[in-house]
Amino acid sequence: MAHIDVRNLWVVYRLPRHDDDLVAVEDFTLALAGRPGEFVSIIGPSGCGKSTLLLAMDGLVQPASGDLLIDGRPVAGPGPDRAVVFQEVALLPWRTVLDNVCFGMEFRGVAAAERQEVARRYVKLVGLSGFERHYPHQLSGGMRQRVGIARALAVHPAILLMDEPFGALDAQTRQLMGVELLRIWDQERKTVVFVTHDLDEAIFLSDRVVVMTARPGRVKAVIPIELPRPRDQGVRNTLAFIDYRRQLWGLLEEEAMKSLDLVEP
Amino acid sequence: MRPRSPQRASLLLRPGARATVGTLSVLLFIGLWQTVGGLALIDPRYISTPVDVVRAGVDLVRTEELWRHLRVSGAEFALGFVASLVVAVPLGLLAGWYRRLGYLVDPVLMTFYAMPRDAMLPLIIIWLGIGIYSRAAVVFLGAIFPIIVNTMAGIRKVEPVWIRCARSFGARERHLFWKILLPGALPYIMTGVRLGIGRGIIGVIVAEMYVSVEGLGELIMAAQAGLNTDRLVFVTLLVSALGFAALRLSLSLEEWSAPWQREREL
Repeated sequence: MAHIDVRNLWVVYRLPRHDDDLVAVEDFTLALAGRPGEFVSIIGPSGCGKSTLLLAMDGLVQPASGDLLIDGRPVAGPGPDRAVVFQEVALLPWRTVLDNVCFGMEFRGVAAAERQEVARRYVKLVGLSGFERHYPHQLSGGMRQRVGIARALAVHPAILLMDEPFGALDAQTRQLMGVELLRIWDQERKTVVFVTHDLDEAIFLSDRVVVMTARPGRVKAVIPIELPRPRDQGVRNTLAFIDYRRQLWGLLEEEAMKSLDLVEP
Repeated sequence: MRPRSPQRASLLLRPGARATVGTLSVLLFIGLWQTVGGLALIDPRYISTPVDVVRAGVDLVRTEELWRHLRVSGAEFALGFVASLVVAVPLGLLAGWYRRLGYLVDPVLMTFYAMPRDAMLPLIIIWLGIGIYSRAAVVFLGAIFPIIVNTMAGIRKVEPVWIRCARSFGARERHLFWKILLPGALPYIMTGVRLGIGRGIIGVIVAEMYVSVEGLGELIMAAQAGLNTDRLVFVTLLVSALGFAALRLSLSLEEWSAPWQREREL
C-alpha cells in the first residue's frame, strides 16, 4: 500500500546574497490516498515547484512547515520504500550499466551475488539485455534513462518518484519511452508519482493528473484520467484524449502565462 | 613560383609523417653531434660524442655500478611517493568535501605549494640527516602538494546529482567517499599524480646531487668531479629518459581512470 498525504506543505529555499527567501512550494495539500499501483502525474508551469515537491517526498529536501506522510509515517529522509528516477539520469560514468543498476542495492544490505542477479533481471525488463557491460557514455539518452528506471526498480520501492525523466529527450524518443514506461509499469505495479510539464505525456501515462499553479505552487485541480488500459500510441488520437488535453490546457494556460509574467498576479 | 614536387610533399604529409620526421630529426642531431665531437670542432671534453656516451653506458651496466645507483634512487623515489599518496589522497578528499577544513588548510597548502622544495633541503637534512629518508622527504614534499590540490579540485567537479542520487538510495557519509567522491575525483587525482611524479624525480636527483654517496644524482656529480663527460652525459640522458617514461605511464593512467572523458574528447 502506498498512501501519500501532503498537508499544508511549505518548502522555502534560502538564497545566498538575497534578502528574500524563495518560496518553492506554498501551502500544498494533496492526498494520494492511493490504490496501490496508481500512476499520478504532477504538471505545472516551469518553476512551479513540482520537482521540489517530488524531492521533498523522497526526503532530499526539508520542508519548512507542514506534514508529509507516507503510509501514515512522516518523511524524515530517504527511505527504502521510495526511489527516484532523476531528471539528469545521474548515472555514474565510471560504472557499467549493470553496476549502475546495482548501485542502489549496495546501501540496502543486498549480497553482491544477489545484486548482480537482480540487476540482470531489471536490465532485461527495461530492454537493455546485451548492454550490461556498456558504459553510460556509450548509450543514447533514451537508453540511459532506461538504466535510471532499472536502478530505481531494483531496490523494490513501493513508490517510484520520477522527476521529468524524459525532459532531455527528443519528441519521438519521448513518446516511445512513455509507451515503454507503461509496459514496464504493467509488470512492476508501483505507485508512480511522475512530474512533467508535458500535457500529452501526463494524460497518456496517468490515472490522475494534478495541476499545480505557478510559483508558489499550490494544487489547482486533480483530474482523473479514465482512458482504458492498456494504452498504446493510438489513444493519443481519440476524442476522449483530446478532451482531456483541452480541459487540462484550460487549467494550465493561465498558470503558464503567470509564470511568463504576462498577467498580473 | 614552381609547384612543389608531389613526391616530396607526400613524404611529409602522409600518415606517420610525424614519426618519420621526428626520427629523422633525432638522427640528424646525433650525426651532427658525432661529427662535431669526433672531428674535435668542439673539444669532446666539453660535449663528448654519441659513441663515447654509449661506451660509457655499456661500461656502467657491465660493472653493475648503474644498478646499484638506480636501485637507491628508485627506493628513495618509491618511499617518498607512496608516502605522499597515502597522505595526500585522503587529506585532499576530506579538505575538498568538508568546506571548512578546506578553508583551514588552503593557505598553508598554497604557501608550501609555492615554496621551492630544493630550498628546504638544508632544513630537511638537519631534521632527517643525510640518509635515504631526507631524500625520500624531498620526493614526498614535491609530490604531496600537487596531489592534494588536484584531489580537492576533483571533489569540486563531482556532480551534485551523483551525491543526491546516492543519498536517495540511503548512502551514508562514508559510502559517499568510497563510491562517489573517490571514483568521481579520480581523473583529477591522476593529474596530481602525474605532476607529482615529475616533481618527485627532480627532487631525487637534486637531493642526491646536494648530499649523497649513492644514487643517480651522486653519479652525475662524481662524473663531473672526474671530468668524465661521457658518463656525465649518459646519466643525464638516462634521467631524462626515465622521466619521460614515467610521464607517458602517468598519462596512460590518467586516461585509463576516466574512459568517459577520453571518448568525449575524441
